[in-house]
Amino acid sequence: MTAPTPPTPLINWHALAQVLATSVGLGIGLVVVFSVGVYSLSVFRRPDAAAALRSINAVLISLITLVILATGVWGFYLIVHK
Amino acid sequence: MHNSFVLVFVVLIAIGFDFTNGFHDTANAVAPTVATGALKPRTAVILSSVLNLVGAFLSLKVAATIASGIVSQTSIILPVVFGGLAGAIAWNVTTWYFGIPSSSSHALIGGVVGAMMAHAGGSAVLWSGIVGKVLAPAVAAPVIALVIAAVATSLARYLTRNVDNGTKSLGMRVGQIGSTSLLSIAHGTNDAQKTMGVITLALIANGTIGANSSTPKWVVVICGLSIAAGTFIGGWRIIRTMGQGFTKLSPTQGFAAQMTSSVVILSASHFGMPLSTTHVATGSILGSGVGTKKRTVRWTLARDVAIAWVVTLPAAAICGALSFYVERLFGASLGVVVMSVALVAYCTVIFLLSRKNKITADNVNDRWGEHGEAFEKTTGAVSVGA
Repeated sequence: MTAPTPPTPLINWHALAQVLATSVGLGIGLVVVFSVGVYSLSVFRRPDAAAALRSINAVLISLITLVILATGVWGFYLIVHK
Repeated sequence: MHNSFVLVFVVLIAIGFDFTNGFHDTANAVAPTVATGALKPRTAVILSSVLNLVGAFLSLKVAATIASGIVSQTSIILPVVFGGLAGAIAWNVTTWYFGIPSSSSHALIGGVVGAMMAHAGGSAVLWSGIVGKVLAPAVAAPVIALVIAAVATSLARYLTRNVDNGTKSLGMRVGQIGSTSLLSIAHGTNDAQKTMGVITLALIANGTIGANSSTPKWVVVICGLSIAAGTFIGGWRIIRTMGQGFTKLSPTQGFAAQMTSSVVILSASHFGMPLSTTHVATGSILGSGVGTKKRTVRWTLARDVAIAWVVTLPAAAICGALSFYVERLFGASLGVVVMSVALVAYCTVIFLLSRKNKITADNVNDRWGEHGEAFEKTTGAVSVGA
């Protein structure tokens, strides 16, 4: 005698919670990271900025570009392998 | 012979639905990009069109068969599929005329549910599926997107408050082009596959291909081309509503809205939660308005769109049921011909009516209200800040 299968819930709360958590984390996180990148770019472009400050911001911009590109590639991967 | 005749019409109407799906949903990916001037309107639509085509070829897993989990799959017959598609097209064209961003997927589900109820009664509809796969996500999608976009917009505005306008505009526009591209690919993959699933199901139901056959290549090609062509035409009326109607979008808002839409849609797709792209994109744009200093959003317009979302399922169902009854009245073969002629006539009338107040790439960004928008008199339009 097998145990009765639990009824499937009407709404997939687990999936909804996962979507919510991922969206909040990634959505807000990416916008914040990108905004920091835009801020760094503005500092980098200032003609009166010190060389050291420009260098730090150049590194920051490169890192943020990599993060954004990597996220884009990951998004593309999700689309292809869903 | 009889079934093959109906099958041809089912395939043709499925291609027609794919086309309307393309132009109806163009706004989801490009509206903020067009509104903020990140890309010229025609350029944005061409980019989205090409990427929709690319997206259609990226994945051939036809996971989403028509209304799976919504209606009894064993009761589906070709006239039901035809009726469902006819209902969805009628509703898509109607909402396009009024510039309402409504879900093409919900229109298709509504059409199929209506045709199925006309065919086999309410017992053939899996009502729990309607709640779990349509109603609950329809409430969750815009709320999730709105809240995230509002927070993201506020943070982005705060972090870039001291950035010169030139750099801010450049950065945010580049970000918008990236997120528009991702959204367009995702749309091409998801929505073109829905139609591929419909045609494959029809071919299997007719015995043209085996039950476990994969989607024929010609179906993939034709669906990809159809959705790309629809996107290329550009649903300017809906792009206008989403880009200019809800709020006046700045590049920062546009970027936050589109990034939110991309993330929510991709995570929903990954975790198997069927959120509507249209509902997410609309929620994101509203949220980007809420995230501004003055929190300026035309809530009356948002309310009217929400009412249209509620009406989508029953309205498309009524269209689907009517279509099925007409097919039954005239017999399957003559019925699909009569319905096709009626549908073409209806679409032509709507198209001609739309010519009286043309919205094109040239005037899509005109101030809200300049083209006597249907909702203008009832909105509490407010002045909008950046």
